Amino acid sequence: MRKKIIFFVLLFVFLILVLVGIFLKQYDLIYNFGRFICFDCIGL
Amino acid sequence: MKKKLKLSSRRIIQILSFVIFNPYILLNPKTGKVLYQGKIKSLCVPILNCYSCPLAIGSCPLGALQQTIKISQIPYLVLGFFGTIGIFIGRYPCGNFCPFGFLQELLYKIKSFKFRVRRPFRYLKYIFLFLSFSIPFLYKEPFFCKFVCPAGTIEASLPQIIFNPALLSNVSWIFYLKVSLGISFIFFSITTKRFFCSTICPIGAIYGLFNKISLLQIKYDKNRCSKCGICNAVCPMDINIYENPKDIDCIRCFNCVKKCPHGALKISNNLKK
Repeated sequence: MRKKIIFFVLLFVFLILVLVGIFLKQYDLIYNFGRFICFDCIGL
Repeated sequence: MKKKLKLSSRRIIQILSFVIFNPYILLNPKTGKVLYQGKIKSLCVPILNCYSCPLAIGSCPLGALQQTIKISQIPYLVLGFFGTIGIFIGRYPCGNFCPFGFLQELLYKIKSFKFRVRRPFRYLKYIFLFLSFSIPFLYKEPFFCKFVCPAGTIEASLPQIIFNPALLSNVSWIFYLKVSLGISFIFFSITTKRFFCSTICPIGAIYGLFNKISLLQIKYDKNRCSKCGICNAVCPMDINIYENPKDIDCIRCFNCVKKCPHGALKISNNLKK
């Protein structure tokens, strides 16, 4: 029972985080990072 | 006689994952663009896969995490993404989806002297994880992408410079540092089982935290175990699975489950009694 509670509480927390991220449109941020060559990644 | 090439189901999944996460130039050989810029880039892939790779169509979650922290935002989406995957399957993506892990397994097949990573070194990845959060926050630099990531060097730097040699005139000392680290990575991958995954990878470090509580587990039956050591020998992470089936380094490849002659290891659901 304890395992189930921990599992579902954590799942709930992470899903809330995802929803908050979607609400804040963080996918647009991620898109803007990824759509250009990342000069940090390639060492320039 | 020629030896027949026999691929395990995990190998097939690894090859498929590589193609699914990196199909860009294969699908668009005539576009002339060396970077995918479509909307799929707003999604993270569940593994280390540089978004500046000319083949990549998704974003690297570690890069997205650091870049979000760098602009002083809390990375809710990436943290929730990591947590949701981790809570269900732990480090399964490392063992089955990660092209970089796959590359290391192929490199380890090269005949050479081999050595094991000692236990304390396996916790180094948590230092890299800490630095991946703290340095972007304090100094506004994506520490791991900029100074360490050999995936960025191998998947992005070198191909981008090959496609656009003009970039070479702008390289800084960081490029040479990363190339040196990339070469060291190749050397250590030949001599040590999944060296990068066990000692450096911050994504593996995050997923590893969930190995104890994730839904997907390996169940160990000590009454059936003869401690023959076959599970240790086939483990790509070089861990003693019968000592700790919930080890933070277990990448859920299930080689041990398949090869155990006594059926002492089984795939199980953590919520079942």
